[in-house]
Amino acid sequence: METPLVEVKNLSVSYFTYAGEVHSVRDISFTLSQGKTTALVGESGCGKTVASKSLMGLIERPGKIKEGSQILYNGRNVLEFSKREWSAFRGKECSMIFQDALVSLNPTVPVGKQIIENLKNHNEENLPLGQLRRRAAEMIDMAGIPDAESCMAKYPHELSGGQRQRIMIATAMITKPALLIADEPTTALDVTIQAQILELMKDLQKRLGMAIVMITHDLGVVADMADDIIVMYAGKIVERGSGDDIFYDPRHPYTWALMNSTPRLDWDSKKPLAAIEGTIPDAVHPPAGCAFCSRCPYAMAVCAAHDPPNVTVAGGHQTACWLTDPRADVTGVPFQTGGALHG
Amino acid sequence: MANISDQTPVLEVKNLCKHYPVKHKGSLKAVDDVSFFIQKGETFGIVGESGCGKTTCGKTCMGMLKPTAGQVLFNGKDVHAMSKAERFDFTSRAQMIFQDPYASLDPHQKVYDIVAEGLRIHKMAKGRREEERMVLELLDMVGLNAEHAMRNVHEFSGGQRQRIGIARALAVNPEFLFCDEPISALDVSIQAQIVNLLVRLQKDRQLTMLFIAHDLSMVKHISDRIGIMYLGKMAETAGADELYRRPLHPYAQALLAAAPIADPKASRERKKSILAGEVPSPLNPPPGCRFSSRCQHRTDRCGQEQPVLREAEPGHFVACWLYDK
Amino acid sequence: MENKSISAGRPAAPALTELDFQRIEKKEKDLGTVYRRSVWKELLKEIGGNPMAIFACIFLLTMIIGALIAPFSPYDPNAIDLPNKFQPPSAQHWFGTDEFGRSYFTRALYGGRVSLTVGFSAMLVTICIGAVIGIFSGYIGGKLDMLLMRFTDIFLALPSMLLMIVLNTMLKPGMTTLIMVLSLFSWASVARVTRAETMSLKARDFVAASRNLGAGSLRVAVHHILPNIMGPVIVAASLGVASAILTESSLSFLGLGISIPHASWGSMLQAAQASILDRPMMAVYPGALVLLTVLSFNILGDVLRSALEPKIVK
Repeated sequence: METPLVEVKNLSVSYFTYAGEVHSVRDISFTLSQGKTTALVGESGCGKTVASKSLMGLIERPGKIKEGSQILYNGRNVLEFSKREWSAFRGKECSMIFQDALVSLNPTVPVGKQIIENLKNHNEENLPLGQLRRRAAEMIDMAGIPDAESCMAKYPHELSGGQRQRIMIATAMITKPALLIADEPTTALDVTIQAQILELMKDLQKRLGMAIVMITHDLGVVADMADDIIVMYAGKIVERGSGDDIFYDPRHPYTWALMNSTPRLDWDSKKPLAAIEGTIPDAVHPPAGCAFCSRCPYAMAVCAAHDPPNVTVAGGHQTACWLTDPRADVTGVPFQTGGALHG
Repeated sequence: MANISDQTPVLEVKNLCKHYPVKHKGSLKAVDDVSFFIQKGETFGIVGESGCGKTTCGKTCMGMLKPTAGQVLFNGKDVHAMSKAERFDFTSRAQMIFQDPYASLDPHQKVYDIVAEGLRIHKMAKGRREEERMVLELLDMVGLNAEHAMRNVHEFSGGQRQRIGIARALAVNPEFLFCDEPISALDVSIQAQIVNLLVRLQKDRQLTMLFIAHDLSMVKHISDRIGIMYLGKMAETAGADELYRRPLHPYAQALLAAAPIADPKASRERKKSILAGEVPSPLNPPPGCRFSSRCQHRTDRCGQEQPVLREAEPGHFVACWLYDK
Repeated sequence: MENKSISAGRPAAPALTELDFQRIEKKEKDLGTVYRRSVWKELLKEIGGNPMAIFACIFLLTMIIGALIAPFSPYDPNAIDLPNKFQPPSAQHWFGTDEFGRSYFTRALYGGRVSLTVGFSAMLVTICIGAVIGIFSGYIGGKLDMLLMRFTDIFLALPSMLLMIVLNTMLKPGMTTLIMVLSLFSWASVARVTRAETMSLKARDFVAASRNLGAGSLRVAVHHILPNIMGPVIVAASLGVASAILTESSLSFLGLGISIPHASWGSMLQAAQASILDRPMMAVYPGALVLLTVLSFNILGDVLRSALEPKIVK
C-alpha cells in the first residue's frame, strides 16, 4: 500500500467560548491519499471545517488542538511545526480555497499581484519577477480565464463571481501544492457556474496531481467529485469509505438518512423524504454514547451509554455504529448492517 | 390539468414587469413581461439562478412590491387595485414563508405572540381561551409543543424557527402560500423535515402554493408545475416530470445537465455539456432572447427579436425561437 | 465477533448483555436542545466580569443613596456660620467647611441631588422627544422624514453651549429651566439614532411578515419597532445622563445654573476657584464627584451596549 499523503490520528479540537468548551472535533482519525479527492461531508457545526483548518494550522484562540492529536504530512507531524516551518508549509505544500472569493481576495490589490505575491513568498529558486509574472499568467490561463494579461490588472470587484472563484483557485494552485483544501468552494455559486468550477478543479487535478479535500454538504457535488468520502456528525467520523461504498452501501443510519433526505432529479415518485427528526446535539455537552442516538430511529439502549466502536466493513469502508453488532435489533433497518471490529 | 383550466386560477400573473430605475444607466428589468397562473390546490415552482427575478416576482404577487406594468389577479381580483377592505381580506388569504428564519421572526417576541399575531389582527379567536387553543393547535401542527410557546425566538434553531414561521403564516388559514426559498438557509437534514411538513400541510389544507428555489431537484420534488426563469424572463413552464423528461428551452436543458446528481454512477455516465459563460448583467441584457449570449443553438433571429412564451405541446410552454413553427 | 480485541487507546469494550441491544422508545417529540438566554443574566454576567463596571455601579448607587438621605444631615447646607469657615476635614465635617462655614460634605450631597435630578430628568425629556421624532421620521419616511431630519440637523449644527447661556440668562433661573434648556439641545442626536435604527428595522423580514398579516402602521410601530429599538435607546440614555450632568456643572460653574445659595457641583467649583491655590481640596471634592459620576455613567453605557447586543446562539 502506498504511503498516504496525510495521516490524521486522534485529532481533537475544542473552542473555549463563554458558553463553555465546544468540542468541535472529537478524536477523529483518517488518511488522505496522494492525488485523490476526499470529501468531508456533514452539516454545519459537525466539525468538518475545523478538521480541515487543523491541517492548515489555522486553529486560533479560543480554539485549541488537544494533546495527543497527530497530523502526519508525509511522515512529519505538522502540529510540532515552528512558526517558520508553518509559513513555508502553508501556501506551498498545502493551499486552501473558500466559499466566498470576494471576502478572501484583497479588494485593493489587482488580482495578478495577489497571485504573484503567493509565488514570491515561496520563491526558493529566486526567480526574477518577470518569470513569476509569466508563471502567474500561465496559471490564470489554466484556470480558464481568457486573456490572462488583462485580467491580472483587474481588481476583484471587476470580475464576476465565477471568475473570482477561478482566480482564487489560481492563487492557491500557483505554488503547485500537493494538497488543496476546498471549503464549500461552490456553495455561493449558481448551478451552471458550479459545474464549471468543479470541472476546472477536476482538470487541474488531472494536470497537477494534487490531493483535494472537498468540504461540502451537497451530496450531488460529492458524487461528482469524490474518490473517498468521510461522513462527520457532531465532531465525529460516523462512516468513511470510497464514493461507491458510501452511496450504494451506507452502513450508518445517519449516512443512509443523508442519502435519502435530499430529493433527486432522477427520482420520479413524490415519496416523502427521509427526514432526520430533531436537531444536532449541543457541542458543549456532547452526549455520552453515540452522538446520533437522540435522532436515530433504530437507537438501542447501548447507543445512549457507550461510544460505538469503529468497525471495518470491507477494505477502507469503516463505520461507527452499534447496529453492526450481531446482537443488535435490526428489524426495519433499510440498509445492510454488520462488519468486523476494527483491530 | 386540462379539465380544470376552465376554472379561474387562484393566482394569475399577466405580463408582469418590475423595473427599477438606476441612475445614469436606464432601468434594471428585474421582472420583464412574465405571465403564469396557479390553479387551486396546485404547487407552482419557479427555479432560476440568483438575480433572475424570481423573488421579485413572488413579492409582487404578494402585493409587497408595486409592478411597473402588468397585473396580478388573485381569484380574479387585481391585487394592486384593491380597496383597503379587500386588501385586508387578501392578507388573510395569501401568506408567505420567508427565506431567512433568523430575520423573519421578531427577536423580542415570544413564540406564542408571533403565532397569535395574525389571529389578533383578523380577530379570529373569540376570547383568550380560544386564542390559546388555536395557537397550541398550530404549534402542534408544525411539530412544536406547548412548552415552546412561551419561549423567546432567539432560543430556537433555524429549522425550529422556520416551523414557527410556517405556523404564523397558517394561523390566518390562508388558501395561498408563497414560499420564498424556505429551506436554502437550513441544514440538509433539517431541509427534509421542512419540505415534508410543507408537502403534508399543502395536502391537508388544500393549499395553493408558489414555491421559489434555486435548487431544481427540490422544486421538482415539491411542485406540480415548474417555471424556469432567466434574467427576468420566463423561459419555460411545464409539468414537473414533463420538464425533467423533455426540457425544451436550451437554458432548461443546460440547467438540468448542470444540476448535480447524488449518485456517483449516474454522475459518471451522464454526458457533460457544461454551459459556458456567466449570466449577463440585468442592467445590460443581450438584445433579443436574453439567453442568446450563452446559447448553442443561437440564430440571427435570437439576437434581434425576443421570443414569447408559447405552447409547444399541451401544457408545455416555451419561449424560444427553435420551437416557433 | 464479540471477542475480537479493540484497538489500544479506546476504552475497553463494556460487558454488554442482550438487554443493551433492545430498541429504546423515543420521547414523544425530541426537538433538540432549546437554548435559553436572559437579558438580565447577560447583564449581570457582563457587569460581574468587569471590575470597572462593578465600581461604576457601586459608586452610582452610593451617590443616589447619598442624594436621597441628604436631608438627614445634621447641618443646613445654606446656613452661614462664619466663625467656622475654612475648617479642615473633621469627624463633624467630613470635607471641612467652606468660606461661609457651611458643611462642605452636606453641600456636596445636595449638589449631587441637583446633578442627578437634572441629569435624569433632562435625559428622560431628551429620550421622549428624540425617540418620538426618530421613529416617526424613520417609519413614515418620504417628505416628512426629510423635513424632520433637516430640522434635527439644524439643532445639531447650533452652537449649543452659547445658546444655552443666552437662554439661561433670559429665562428665570432654576432647575426646570435648566432641564428644559438641556433637553432642547440634546434630543437631536437621539432622534438620529432612533431614526437610523427604525429605518433598518422597517426593512427587516419580520416587519414585512407583520404587514403581510394585515398589521397597520401603529401596530407595527408599537409591537415590532419600539421593543427592538429599546437597546440603543437605553444606551443613549445612560450616556445622556452623563452629558447632562456635565453640562449642568458647566452652566452652574458659569453662574447660570442653580441660583445662590443652593449648592450644585458646578457652583461649588466656581466658589472654590477664588481660593484654588490656598485650598485646592475645595475644588477637588466637587470636581472628583463630577468626574466619577460622568465616568460611571459612561462605563455603564458601554456595558449595556455589549449586554444588549444581540448574540445569536445557534
